Amino acid sequence: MSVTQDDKELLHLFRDLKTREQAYTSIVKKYQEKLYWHIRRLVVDHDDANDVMQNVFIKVWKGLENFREDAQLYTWLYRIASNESISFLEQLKRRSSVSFDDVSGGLSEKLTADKDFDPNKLEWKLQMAIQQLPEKQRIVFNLRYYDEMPYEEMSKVLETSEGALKASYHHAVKKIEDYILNR
Amino acid sequence: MPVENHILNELNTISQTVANIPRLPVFTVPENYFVEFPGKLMEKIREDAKIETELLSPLLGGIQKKNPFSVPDGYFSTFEEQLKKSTLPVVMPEPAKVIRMSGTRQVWKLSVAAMVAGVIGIAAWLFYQQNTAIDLPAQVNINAELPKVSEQEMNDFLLSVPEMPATETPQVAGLENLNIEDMLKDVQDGELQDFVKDMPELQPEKLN
Repeated sequence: MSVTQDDKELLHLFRDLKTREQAYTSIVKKYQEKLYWHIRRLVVDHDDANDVMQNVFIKVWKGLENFREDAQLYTWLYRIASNESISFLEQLKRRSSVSFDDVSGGLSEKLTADKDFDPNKLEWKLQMAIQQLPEKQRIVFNLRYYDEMPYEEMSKVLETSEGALKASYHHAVKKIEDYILNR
Repeated sequence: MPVENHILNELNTISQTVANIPRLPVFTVPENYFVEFPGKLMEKIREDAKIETELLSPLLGGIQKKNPFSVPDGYFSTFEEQLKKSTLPVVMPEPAKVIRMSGTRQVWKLSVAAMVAGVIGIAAWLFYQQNTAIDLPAQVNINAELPKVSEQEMNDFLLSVPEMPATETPQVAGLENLNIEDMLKDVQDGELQDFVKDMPELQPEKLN
Protein backbone atom coordinates (compact mmCIF):
# COMPACT_ATOMS: atom_id res chain seq x y z
CA MET A 1 0.00 0.00 0.00
CA SER A 2 1.45 3.38 -0.92
CA VAL A 3 0.83 6.80 0.57
CA THR A 4 -2.68 8.24 0.66
CA GLN A 5 -3.62 11.10 -1.65
CA ASP A 6 -3.54 13.60 1.24
CA ASP A 7 -0.09 12.47 2.28
CA LYS A 8 1.06 12.54 -1.33
CA GLU A 9 0.01 16.18 -1.60
CA LEU A 10 1.69 17.01 1.71
CA LEU A 11 4.90 15.33 0.56
CA HIS A 12 4.75 17.23 -2.71
CA LEU A 13 4.36 20.51 -0.80
CA PHE A 14 7.17 19.53 1.54
CA ARG A 15 9.58 19.11 -1.38
CA ASP A 16 8.93 22.70 -2.44
CA LEU A 17 11.05 24.99 -0.26
CA LYS A 18 8.39 27.69 -0.31
CA THR A 19 5.70 25.42 1.20
CA ARG A 20 7.99 23.13 3.21
CA GLU A 21 7.21 24.46 6.67
CA GLN A 22 3.51 24.65 5.97
CA ALA A 23 3.40 21.04 4.76
CA TYR A 24 5.52 19.85 7.66
CA THR A 25 3.24 21.55 10.18
CA SER A 26 0.25 19.87 8.52
CA ILE A 27 1.94 16.47 8.83
CA VAL A 28 2.73 17.12 12.49
CA LYS A 29 -0.84 18.21 13.21
CA LYS A 30 -2.21 15.16 11.41
CA TYR A 31 -0.13 12.53 13.18
CA GLN A 32 0.98 14.08 16.47
CA GLU A 33 -1.77 12.66 18.67
CA LYS A 34 -1.49 9.11 17.39
CA LEU A 35 2.28 9.13 17.74
CA TYR A 36 2.15 10.83 21.11
CA TRP A 37 -0.07 8.15 22.60
CA HIS A 38 2.03 5.39 21.08
CA ILE A 39 5.13 6.91 22.68
CA ARG A 40 3.43 7.80 25.95
CA ARG A 41 2.23 4.23 26.52
CA LEU A 42 5.81 3.06 26.08
CA VAL A 43 7.68 5.67 28.16
CA VAL A 44 4.75 6.50 30.52
CA ASP A 45 5.91 9.96 31.61
CA HIS A 46 4.65 13.00 29.70
CA ASP A 47 7.96 14.90 29.75
CA ASP A 48 9.81 11.85 28.47
CA ALA A 49 7.13 11.36 25.81
CA ASN A 50 7.50 15.01 24.81
CA ASP A 51 11.28 14.63 24.44
CA VAL A 52 10.84 11.52 22.31
CA MET A 53 8.15 13.27 20.23
CA GLN A 54 10.51 16.11 19.45
CA ASN A 55 13.26 13.71 18.45
CA VAL A 56 10.84 11.80 16.25
CA PHE A 57 9.61 14.85 14.39
CA ILE A 58 13.10 16.32 14.02
CA LYS A 59 14.09 13.03 12.37
CA VAL A 60 11.02 13.33 10.18
CA TRP A 61 12.04 16.87 9.18
CA LYS A 62 15.50 15.68 8.22
CA GLY A 63 14.42 12.50 6.46
CA LEU A 64 11.12 13.36 4.82
CA GLU A 65 12.71 14.62 1.63
CA ASN A 66 14.18 11.17 0.98
CA PHE A 67 11.03 9.29 2.02
CA ARG A 68 10.11 6.79 -0.67
CA GLU A 69 6.42 6.77 -1.41
CA ASP A 70 6.16 3.01 -1.78
CA ALA A 71 5.26 2.85 1.95
CA GLN A 72 2.55 4.64 3.90
CA LEU A 73 3.70 7.78 5.65
CA TYR A 74 2.12 6.75 8.94
CA THR A 75 3.93 3.36 8.82
CA TRP A 76 7.22 5.22 8.47
CA LEU A 77 6.28 7.61 11.29
CA TYR A 78 5.35 4.74 13.61
CA ARG A 79 8.64 3.03 12.86
CA ILE A 80 10.58 6.14 13.82
CA ALA A 81 8.44 6.61 16.94
CA SER A 82 8.92 2.97 18.01
CA ASN A 83 12.67 3.07 17.43
CA GLU A 84 13.06 6.38 19.23
CA SER A 85 11.04 5.08 22.21
CA ILE A 86 13.19 1.94 22.40
CA SER A 87 16.35 4.07 22.15
CA PHE A 88 15.06 6.26 24.95
CA LEU A 89 14.37 3.27 27.22
CA GLU A 90 17.80 1.81 26.44
CA GLN A 91 19.43 5.13 27.34
CA LEU A 92 17.44 5.04 30.58
CA LYS A 93 18.79 1.55 31.20
CA ARG A 94 22.40 2.58 30.52
CA ARG A 95 22.17 5.71 32.60
CA SER A 96 20.86 3.90 35.66
CA SER A 97 22.91 0.72 34.94
CA VAL A 98 19.90 -1.38 35.70
CA SER A 99 18.35 -4.46 34.10
CA PHE A 100 15.16 -4.53 32.02
CA ASP A 101 13.16 -5.66 35.07
CA ASP A 102 14.28 -2.61 36.93
CA VAL A 103 13.32 -0.39 34.00
CA SER A 104 9.88 -2.01 33.99
CA GLY A 105 9.78 -1.41 37.69
CA GLY A 106 10.77 2.19 37.10
CA LEU A 107 7.96 2.57 34.58
CA SER A 108 5.51 1.01 37.04
CA GLU A 109 6.68 3.48 39.65
CA LYS A 110 6.04 6.31 37.24
CA LEU A 111 2.54 4.92 36.71
CA THR A 112 1.80 4.77 40.41
CA ALA A 113 3.14 8.30 40.79
CA ASP A 114 0.54 9.63 38.38
CA LYS A 115 -1.93 11.91 40.12
CA ASP A 116 -4.88 9.98 38.68
CA PHE A 117 -3.54 6.53 39.49
CA ASP A 118 -6.14 4.19 41.07
CA PRO A 119 -5.00 0.57 41.62
CA ASN A 120 -8.58 -0.64 41.94
CA LYS A 121 -9.55 0.47 38.45
CA LEU A 122 -9.13 -2.11 35.75
CA GLU A 123 -7.76 0.35 33.19
CA TRP A 124 -4.88 1.22 35.53
CA LYS A 125 -4.34 -2.43 36.33
CA LEU A 126 -4.08 -3.06 32.61
CA GLN A 127 -1.40 -0.39 32.34
CA MET A 128 0.53 -2.01 35.20
CA ALA A 129 0.27 -5.37 33.41
CA ILE A 130 1.52 -3.86 30.12
CA GLN A 131 4.63 -2.45 31.86
CA GLN A 132 5.60 -5.98 32.89
CA LEU A 133 5.91 -7.08 29.26
CA PRO A 134 9.24 -7.19 27.39
CA GLU A 135 9.79 -4.12 25.21
CA LYS A 136 8.96 -5.74 21.86
CA GLN A 137 5.80 -7.46 23.18
CA ARG A 138 4.72 -4.17 24.72
CA ILE A 139 4.99 -2.43 21.36
CA VAL A 140 3.14 -5.22 19.56
CA PHE A 141 0.36 -5.24 22.14
CA ASN A 142 -0.03 -1.46 22.08
CA LEU A 143 -0.08 -1.27 18.29
CA ARG A 144 -2.71 -3.99 18.06
CA TYR A 145 -4.84 -3.24 21.10
CA TYR A 146 -4.81 0.57 21.07
CA ASP A 147 -3.89 1.53 17.54
CA GLU A 148 -5.71 -1.42 15.92
CA MET A 149 -2.98 -1.72 13.40
CA PRO A 150 -3.24 -4.58 10.87
CA TYR A 151 -0.46 -7.15 11.15
CA GLU A 152 0.59 -6.34 7.60
CA GLU A 153 1.33 -2.72 8.52
CA MET A 154 2.81 -3.70 11.87
CA SER A 155 5.16 -6.01 10.00
CA LYS A 156 6.47 -2.99 8.08
CA VAL A 157 6.79 -0.86 11.21
CA LEU A 158 8.68 -3.46 13.24
CA GLU A 159 10.27 -5.32 10.29
CA THR A 160 9.05 -8.64 11.69
CA SER A 161 7.01 -11.36 10.01
CA GLU A 162 3.26 -11.34 10.50
CA GLY A 163 3.38 -14.85 12.04
CA ALA A 164 5.90 -13.75 14.65
CA LEU A 165 3.79 -10.68 15.45
CA LYS A 166 0.63 -12.77 15.92
CA ALA A 167 2.49 -15.11 18.27
CA SER A 168 3.94 -12.14 20.16
CA TYR A 169 0.51 -10.56 20.59
CA HIS A 170 -0.93 -13.88 21.79
CA HIS A 171 1.79 -14.21 24.44
CA ALA A 172 1.37 -10.61 25.52
CA VAL A 173 -2.40 -10.97 26.02
CA LYS A 174 -1.92 -14.18 28.03
CA LYS A 175 0.65 -12.50 30.30
CA ILE A 176 -1.65 -9.53 30.86
CA GLU A 177 -4.55 -11.83 31.67
CA ASP A 178 -2.38 -13.67 34.14
CA TYR A 179 -1.26 -10.41 35.78
CA ILE A 180 -4.82 -9.10 36.12
CA LEU A 181 -6.25 -12.35 37.48
CA ASN A 182 -3.45 -13.09 39.92
CA ARG A 183 -2.53 -9.72 41.41
CA MET B 1 -13.62 4.08 21.56
CA PRO B 2 -15.14 1.74 18.95
CA VAL B 3 -13.01 -1.31 18.34
CA GLU B 4 -12.72 -3.02 14.98
CA ASN B 5 -14.68 -6.26 15.12
CA HIS B 6 -11.96 -8.54 13.88
CA ILE B 7 -9.52 -7.18 16.48
CA LEU B 8 -12.08 -7.59 19.30
CA ASN B 9 -12.91 -11.13 18.10
CA GLU B 10 -9.23 -12.00 18.01
CA LEU B 11 -8.81 -10.67 21.56
CA ASN B 12 -11.88 -12.60 22.73
CA THR B 13 -10.46 -15.84 21.41
CA ILE B 14 -7.19 -15.24 23.31
CA SER B 15 -8.56 -13.77 26.56
CA GLN B 16 -12.10 -12.72 27.44
CA THR B 17 -10.77 -11.09 30.59
CA VAL B 18 -8.58 -8.68 28.68
CA ALA B 19 -11.30 -8.14 26.03
CA ASN B 20 -13.72 -7.03 28.72
CA ILE B 21 -11.48 -4.37 30.19
CA PRO B 22 -13.02 -0.94 29.47
CA ARG B 23 -10.88 1.15 27.12
CA LEU B 24 -10.71 4.28 29.16
CA PRO B 25 -7.87 6.77 28.87
CA VAL B 26 -5.66 6.76 31.90
CA PHE B 27 -3.01 9.28 30.88
CA THR B 28 -3.56 12.98 30.67
CA VAL B 29 -1.71 15.64 28.72
CA PRO B 30 -1.17 19.30 29.59
CA GLU B 31 -3.81 21.64 28.29
CA ASN B 32 -3.30 22.82 24.69
CA TYR B 33 -0.36 20.47 24.31
CA PHE B 34 -1.35 19.35 20.81
CA VAL B 35 -2.26 22.90 19.78
CA GLU B 36 1.12 24.27 20.79
CA PHE B 37 3.30 21.32 19.86
CA PRO B 38 3.67 22.01 16.09
CA GLY B 39 4.73 25.63 16.70
CA LYS B 40 7.18 24.71 19.46
CA LEU B 41 8.61 21.95 17.31
CA MET B 42 9.19 24.34 14.40
CA GLU B 43 10.93 26.76 16.77
CA LYS B 44 13.17 23.95 17.99
CA ILE B 45 14.03 22.93 14.42
CA ARG B 46 15.03 26.51 13.59
CA GLU B 47 17.01 26.81 16.81
CA ASP B 48 18.81 23.51 16.10
CA ALA B 49 19.67 24.71 12.59
CA LYS B 50 21.05 27.95 14.05
CA ILE B 51 23.17 26.08 16.61
CA GLU B 52 24.44 23.76 13.88
CA THR B 53 25.50 26.74 11.75
CA GLU B 54 27.18 28.40 14.76
CA LEU B 55 29.14 25.23 15.46
CA LEU B 56 30.22 24.91 11.84
CA SER B 57 31.12 28.57 11.45
CA PRO B 58 30.75 31.01 14.39
CA LEU B 59 31.20 33.90 11.96
CA LEU B 60 28.33 32.75 9.74
CA GLY B 61 26.20 31.95 12.77
CA GLY B 62 26.65 35.49 14.07
CA ILE B 63 25.48 37.13 10.86
CA GLN B 64 21.82 38.11 10.92
CA LYS B 65 19.69 36.45 8.30
CA LYS B 66 18.62 39.80 6.93
CA ASN B 67 18.04 40.09 3.20
CA PRO B 68 20.41 42.77 1.85
CA PHE B 69 18.61 43.00 -1.51
CA SER B 70 15.64 45.16 -2.36
CA VAL B 71 13.05 45.03 -5.12
CA PRO B 72 11.14 47.84 -6.86
CA ASP B 73 7.89 48.92 -5.17
CA GLY B 74 4.98 46.71 -6.06
CA TYR B 75 7.20 44.14 -7.82
CA PHE B 76 5.54 41.08 -6.37
CA SER B 77 1.99 42.46 -6.68
CA THR B 78 2.47 43.09 -10.41
CA PHE B 79 4.75 40.14 -11.12
CA GLU B 80 1.95 37.74 -12.07
CA GLU B 81 0.49 40.22 -14.53
CA GLN B 82 3.88 40.90 -16.11
CA LEU B 83 4.50 37.20 -16.40
CA LYS B 84 1.18 36.71 -18.14
CA LYS B 85 2.00 39.47 -20.63
CA SER B 86 5.40 38.04 -21.44
CA THR B 87 4.02 34.55 -21.91
CA LEU B 88 1.04 35.51 -24.10
CA PRO B 89 1.03 33.49 -27.34
CA VAL B 90 2.66 35.37 -30.24
CA VAL B 91 0.09 36.37 -32.91
CA MET B 92 1.38 35.11 -36.25
CA PRO B 93 0.52 37.19 -39.41
CA GLU B 94 -1.97 35.52 -41.69
CA PRO B 95 -0.32 33.90 -44.71
CA ALA B 96 -0.70 35.79 -48.01
CA LYS B 97 -3.70 34.80 -50.08
CA VAL B 98 -2.86 32.61 -53.08
CA ILE B 99 -4.77 33.74 -56.19
CA ARG B 100 -5.14 31.24 -58.97
CA MET B 101 -4.30 32.71 -62.38
CA SER B 102 -6.97 32.48 -65.08
CA GLY B 103 -6.42 30.63 -68.42
CA THR B 104 -5.88 33.89 -70.43
CA ARG B 105 -3.30 35.11 -67.96
CA GLN B 106 -1.45 31.83 -68.23
CA VAL B 107 -1.30 32.09 -72.08
CA TRP B 108 0.09 35.63 -71.79
CA LYS B 109 2.64 34.51 -69.24
CA LEU B 110 3.84 31.68 -71.50
CA SER B 111 3.99 34.02 -74.57
CA VAL B 112 6.12 36.58 -72.71
CA ALA B 113 8.44 33.81 -71.48
CA ALA B 114 8.82 32.46 -75.06
CA MET B 115 9.58 35.97 -76.41
CA VAL B 116 12.25 36.61 -73.78
CA ALA B 117 13.82 33.22 -74.49
CA GLY B 118 13.78 33.99 -78.26
CA VAL B 119 15.44 37.40 -77.86
CA ILE B 120 18.18 35.93 -75.66
CA GLY B 121 18.73 33.09 -78.18
CA ILE B 122 19.03 35.40 -81.22
CA ALA B 123 21.37 37.78 -79.40
CA ALA B 124 23.63 34.89 -78.44
CA TRP B 125 23.70 33.58 -82.04
CA LEU B 126 24.58 37.00 -83.45
CA PHE B 127 27.38 37.48 -80.93
CA TYR B 128 28.82 34.06 -81.83
CA GLN B 129 28.67 34.84 -85.59
CA GLN B 130 30.50 38.15 -85.10
CA ASN B 131 33.39 36.53 -83.21
CA THR B 132 33.76 33.85 -85.87
CA ALA B 133 34.10 36.57 -88.65
CA ILE B 134 36.96 38.29 -86.76
CA ASP B 135 38.94 35.01 -86.59
CA LEU B 136 38.58 34.27 -90.32
CA PRO B 137 42.02 35.70 -91.60
CA ALA B 138 43.82 33.36 -89.16
CA GLN B 139 42.33 30.43 -90.95
CA VAL B 140 43.63 31.57 -94.49
CA ASN B 141 46.25 29.26 -96.08
CA ILE B 142 49.35 31.52 -96.33
CA ASN B 143 51.29 29.22 -98.71
CA ALA B 144 48.40 29.35 -101.20
CA GLU B 145 47.82 33.09 -100.95
CA LEU B 146 51.50 34.33 -100.86
CA PRO B 147 52.23 33.87 -104.62
CA LYS B 148 49.22 36.11 -105.36
CA VAL B 149 50.90 39.08 -103.58
CA SER B 150 52.82 41.37 -105.97
CA GLU B 151 56.45 42.48 -105.36
CA GLN B 152 55.42 46.08 -104.86
CA GLU B 153 52.88 45.08 -102.23
CA MET B 154 55.58 43.00 -100.47
CA ASN B 155 58.07 45.97 -100.44
CA ASP B 156 55.40 48.29 -99.10
CA PHE B 157 54.65 45.79 -96.32
CA LEU B 158 58.37 45.41 -95.37
CA LEU B 159 58.82 49.19 -95.24
CA SER B 160 55.75 49.57 -93.02
CA VAL B 161 56.98 46.94 -90.48
CA PRO B 162 59.61 48.16 -87.89
CA GLU B 163 63.13 46.59 -88.02
CA MET B 164 63.37 43.06 -86.57
CA PRO B 165 65.54 42.81 -83.41
CA ALA B 166 69.01 41.25 -84.07
CA THR B 167 70.11 38.05 -82.39
CA GLU B 168 72.82 38.67 -79.75
CA THR B 169 75.79 36.76 -81.30
CA PRO B 170 79.40 38.15 -81.68
CA GLN B 171 78.98 38.12 -85.41
CA VAL B 172 75.72 40.07 -85.37
CA ALA B 173 77.13 42.46 -82.75
CA GLY B 174 80.27 43.05 -84.95
CA LEU B 175 82.74 41.75 -82.32
CA GLU B 176 84.24 38.86 -84.33
CA ASN B 177 87.35 40.89 -85.52
CA LEU B 178 88.39 42.21 -82.10
CA ASN B 179 91.76 41.05 -80.60
CA ILE B 180 91.70 40.18 -76.87
CA GLU B 181 95.35 41.28 -76.40
CA ASP B 182 94.47 44.74 -77.82
CA MET B 183 91.45 44.92 -75.54
CA LEU B 184 93.56 44.12 -72.41
CA LYS B 185 96.62 46.20 -73.19
CA ASP B 186 95.38 49.14 -71.04
CA VAL B 187 94.57 46.92 -68.03
CA GLN B 188 97.21 46.88 -65.22
CA ASP B 189 98.85 43.56 -64.20
CA GLY B 190 97.70 44.01 -60.61
CA GLU B 191 94.07 44.38 -61.74
CA LEU B 192 94.36 41.28 -63.83
CA GLN B 193 95.81 39.29 -60.91
CA ASP B 194 93.00 40.51 -58.60
CA PHE B 195 90.47 39.44 -61.22
CA VAL B 196 92.05 35.97 -61.44
CA LYS B 197 91.97 35.71 -57.60
CA ASP B 198 88.29 36.59 -57.58
CA MET B 199 87.50 33.88 -60.16
CA PRO B 200 88.28 30.50 -58.56
CA GLU B 201 87.73 28.66 -61.87
CA LEU B 202 90.67 30.59 -63.42
CA GLN B 203 93.19 29.38 -60.72
CA PRO B 204 96.20 27.62 -62.37
CA GLU B 205 95.57 24.29 -60.52
CA LYS B 206 91.95 24.28 -61.82
CA LEU B 207 93.08 25.02 -65.38
CA ASN B 208 95.53 22.05 -65.31
